[in-house]
Amino acid sequence: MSQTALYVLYAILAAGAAGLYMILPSTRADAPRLRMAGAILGTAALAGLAAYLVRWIGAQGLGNGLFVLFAVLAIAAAVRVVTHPRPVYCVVYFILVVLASTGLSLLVAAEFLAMALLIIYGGAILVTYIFVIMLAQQTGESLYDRNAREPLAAVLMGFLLVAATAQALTVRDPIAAHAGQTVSSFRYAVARPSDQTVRPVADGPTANGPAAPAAPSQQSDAPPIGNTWAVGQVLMTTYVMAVEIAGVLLLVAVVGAIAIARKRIDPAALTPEERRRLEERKDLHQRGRQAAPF
Amino acid sequence: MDLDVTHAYVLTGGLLFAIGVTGFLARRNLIVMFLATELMFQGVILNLVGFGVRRGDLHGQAFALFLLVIAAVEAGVALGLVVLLFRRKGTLDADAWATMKG
Repeated sequence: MSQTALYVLYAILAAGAAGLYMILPSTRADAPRLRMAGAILGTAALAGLAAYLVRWIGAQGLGNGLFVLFAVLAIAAAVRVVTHPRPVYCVVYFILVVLASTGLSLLVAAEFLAMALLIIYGGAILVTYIFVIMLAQQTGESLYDRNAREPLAAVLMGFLLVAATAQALTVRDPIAAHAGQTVSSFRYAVARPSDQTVRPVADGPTANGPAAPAAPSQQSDAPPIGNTWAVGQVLMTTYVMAVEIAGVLLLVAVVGAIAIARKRIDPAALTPEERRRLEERKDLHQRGRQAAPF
Repeated sequence: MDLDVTHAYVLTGGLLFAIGVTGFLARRNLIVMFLATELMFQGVILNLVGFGVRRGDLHGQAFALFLLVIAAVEAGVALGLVVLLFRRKGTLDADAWATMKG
């Protein structure tokens, strides 16, 4: 990446940061007009980013066009997540971010990760968020949702972070020899048996131990290996300990979440009527346990 | 010239992360603040995918899957905490809990 490209990227980022600052919720009198100006500036910055990706990183073929589309979609939706005054809409825009990053994962043949993102993020996690919003949200827009805290400092912080990242990208890295790999050349990399990405096997996994790598002469005949198969093999061999620990971590988190959100009842705060009903219920539980099963 | 995968993915992921940081600092609503951390997770996942392409193996994707586990854990515990805090003060405003600010 040339020095000119870096300065162009800085300009695009600065325009985007200024746009983000204007769109952040505010209760100032001229907020609607500011928001409109910010939307125009932000759209211009997004168009600039798309042009930058096409011009300086290059974009030919369907895969790269889709990359630009998904990247711009993800960033635009992310901006709406942090600027929308209604939390439910923030969640809906976050689902759009997840969909876009699913597309980005698919472009580099990370199919298993893409599906996991869609199901776990777009499904499970976001549904949990919507449930909590339904539990906790008051009607209408609250004042704290229409009024950002320290928007200038926050936007400056974000701008500095991404500008530093962009600067670091210009530094020649020691593994630049691999830099020739591209989206369109990588799209089918995992599915191609001769590729170095995964070791192809002769007859899939055998019953007594991991599958043996295919002999070089058989490579062209070996059946294509899916990304899911390959990721599964990595997870169950190299990272099998981490998978176990992840399971324990999930269990601890479930128990912890229940323990945190549980409703504690202070017996002293109960009315005599409520205390009587509680005792009655305890008594019913006791009798149920002692009763004969049939 | 073709698209340099790592460069493009790291730039996109970095932008998502920076927007997440901005949202976390600027918003007052507890739920939206945690949503902004999920945005940061998305940025990191894209970074891992991009660096995995550069390395040419599947370790980046495996790490991204573990990140997914951490994101799920974080969402569960954080939302439990949000429910607890909302029950205590009846508001989602993060500034309601600023007593330690002095």
